[in-house]
Amino acid sequence: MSHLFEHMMFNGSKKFGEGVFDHLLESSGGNSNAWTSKDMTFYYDVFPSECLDLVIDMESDRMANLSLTKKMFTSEREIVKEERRMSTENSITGTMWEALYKHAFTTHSYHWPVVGWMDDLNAMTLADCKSFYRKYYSPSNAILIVAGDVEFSPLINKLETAYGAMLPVIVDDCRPAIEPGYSGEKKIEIRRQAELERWLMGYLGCAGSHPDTSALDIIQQIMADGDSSRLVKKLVHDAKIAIDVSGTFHWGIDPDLFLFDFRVRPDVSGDRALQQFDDQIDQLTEKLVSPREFQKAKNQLTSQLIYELSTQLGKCTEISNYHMVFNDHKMVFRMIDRYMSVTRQDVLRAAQTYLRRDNRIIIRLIPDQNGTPHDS
Amino acid sequence: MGHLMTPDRVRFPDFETRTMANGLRVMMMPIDKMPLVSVKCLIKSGSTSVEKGKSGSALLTLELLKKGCGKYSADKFSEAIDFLGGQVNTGAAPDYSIISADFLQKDLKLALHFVGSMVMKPHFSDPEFYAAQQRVSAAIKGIKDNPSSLSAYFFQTYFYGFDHPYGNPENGILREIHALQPEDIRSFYIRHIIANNAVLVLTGKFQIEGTFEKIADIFSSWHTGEIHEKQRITIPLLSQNRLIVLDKSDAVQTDILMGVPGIYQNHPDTIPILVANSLFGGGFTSRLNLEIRVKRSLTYSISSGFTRMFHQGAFTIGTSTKTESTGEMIRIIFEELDRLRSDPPSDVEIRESVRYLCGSFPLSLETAEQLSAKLTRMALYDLPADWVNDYIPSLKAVTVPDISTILPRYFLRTGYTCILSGIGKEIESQIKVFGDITMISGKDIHL
Repeated sequence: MSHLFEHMMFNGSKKFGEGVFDHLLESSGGNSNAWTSKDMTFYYDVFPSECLDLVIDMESDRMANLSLTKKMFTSEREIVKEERRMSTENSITGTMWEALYKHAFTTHSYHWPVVGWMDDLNAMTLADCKSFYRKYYSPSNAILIVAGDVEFSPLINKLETAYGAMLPVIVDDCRPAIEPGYSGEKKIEIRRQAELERWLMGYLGCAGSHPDTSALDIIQQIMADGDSSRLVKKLVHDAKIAIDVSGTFHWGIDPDLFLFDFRVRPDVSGDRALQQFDDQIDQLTEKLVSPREFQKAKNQLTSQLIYELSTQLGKCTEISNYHMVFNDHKMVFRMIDRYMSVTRQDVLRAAQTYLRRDNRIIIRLIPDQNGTPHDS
Repeated sequence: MGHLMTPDRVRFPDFETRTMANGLRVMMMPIDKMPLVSVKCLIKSGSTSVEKGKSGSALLTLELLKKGCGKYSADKFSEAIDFLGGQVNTGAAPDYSIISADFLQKDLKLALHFVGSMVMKPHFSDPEFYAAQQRVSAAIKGIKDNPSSLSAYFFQTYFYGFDHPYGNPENGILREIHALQPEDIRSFYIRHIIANNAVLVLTGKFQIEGTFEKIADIFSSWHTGEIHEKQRITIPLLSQNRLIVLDKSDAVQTDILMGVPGIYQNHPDTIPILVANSLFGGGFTSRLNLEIRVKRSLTYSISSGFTRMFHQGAFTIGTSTKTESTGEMIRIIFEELDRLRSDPPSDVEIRESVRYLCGSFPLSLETAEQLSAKLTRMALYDLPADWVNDYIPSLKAVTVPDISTILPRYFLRTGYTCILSGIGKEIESQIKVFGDITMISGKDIHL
């Protein structure tokens, strides 16, 4: 619902009718879009600074007075179904990711795909949509970030005028209990028409605000960022068994996954690739990382943060992420210090804590000309 | 609601161009924003410069520049870059090849040293060649696993044809890549990666004085060679549409990419074409988006665009839709092309489109990397020095007659090459009314 609702936010409000939001913004030289994650919905507008008053007017009106009609709901639901077909059902990547979260989270709401199950989309109603809007959409449940050619005091006055009188909402903490740990490794196979075998490995990690996050980010760099990282070097270049490898630790409000993803070369057995992968994880959990690769990881994280803050939209995105995860947007300015304070012992302990085989889900895509896009 | 102001112009930061004795052009743009520097080494030869039958050799050559150069083995080179938190990427496009190095300001000297080692002292060892050849081959096979990549690959081969320079995909054709030998890579390097065929572009936080001297130190001994002039090639317009169906029996959507001959870079009609394309298939309020996504919910995404390269490129429309709406989707796209004539854009529609393009443009000039991309394009296609500064005034000068003139020339109603990746037997009957169909079964889809 949160993702479908994100679409609904562009379909008109009390002062600005159907289609007016995009039309006014684009015809004034701006653009906007939005995305939904498992934890939040993020809306952005990028526009010439002369349009600030217009944007505040449009944004505040859709926060308080959104038009929710049957016609637009039905239309957007069909668009979201097309989005689901494109990004999930017709996509090997999307199919594997959906399967991973479906099996990795059986208690927590991270189980549900952001775009929604097709059956759920078909069952949703306009009443559900209205209820969702009333429950979650208020300034009291939002953070607004402005970056660029603006002056602080006049901006605050404008925002106070636009949003100050809106009623707060009380969002019950409806988040389910933390996902219980796994009782052992889970392995899911998907057989479908494909050229390349692919593996997606998910380890249950910690919440983004947890102190171990910094060590897990460093592990991500050491294992899978750049040609000199351990997994890329070993699997892609030395052993020549994978085409590519990537690794990501997802910062969630609640504990999310530490992921690795690799595609296997056509002439290599998947089991051999898994063995090589596990050898690298074992080494990380058995021995301290070298001082040089430890420093390399910290240097990479520092420069990545600087790059992420080099555009206006990048600044807004990072500040909102840090606010959501840490409940403190200023943490973005302290993150480099946090990385610098991590020790090699912290990295070893984090690897031993989280990168355990009994703490992971494996999704294996097996090429099969008679396969279907569903897991087994 | 009155229309708001959009910027009258943007000011491209000052830059300086110097040419070294060996012909290497150096463009330098110091900007005092983030503590970052971007170095790009543009080579004015790309995947279209390879010998016939050697497709993929440009890409492999660029890939191998990272796999051992100067005093570095492949491993030591990647480790040295990663240790600094920098990025070095290489690539080969149809018209050019490029090496991009993005680093923190403090590491500028090393960034130049890395790029210098790559272009002047590559090792091209046989083991690294064979390893890269295998990697690239496997990655090409993976294109079949992504519907939109597959459509784009086949569009290129069918639209341009194998005899056209753009008809060979940049990544190469598998059988030709398998036949490549290390000597083919050395040959491409010697002929094309030469100082007088290159432009070095620097943007970011640095000072010209002192930096240029470092560049001269590093690059003065780069070898030179003969420059090969290219003749512009045009593409014949088909007398009717042709539809190529890539039959994927497990598809749940049809991926569609269709196109007709468009324009080349620097074409005099470029500015009105950009305005017309924006209102036809650009942003969320374009005609295609409003009719096909908003009004009919047939897709999540649809857009159109013009490929602008040295040779004449394509005007393309790309989208995806559920299998049963494939025919309806194609029909409405053609109806919208018809409507450009029956209900041509008004002055209001054109002005809105101009404002959208004007407002978006400054966002492409925010970072050192974006600015170096603009300078690189300027160098590659000999764009005038003030093209960035003139862009917004040129857009604002577009009139209704300008648009009326270009619409029938470029937004054609027939002659499309359409690639459809989906379930052949279910879409065939829906689309046969639009032109001749060539059906390629899944097992015959060769890359």
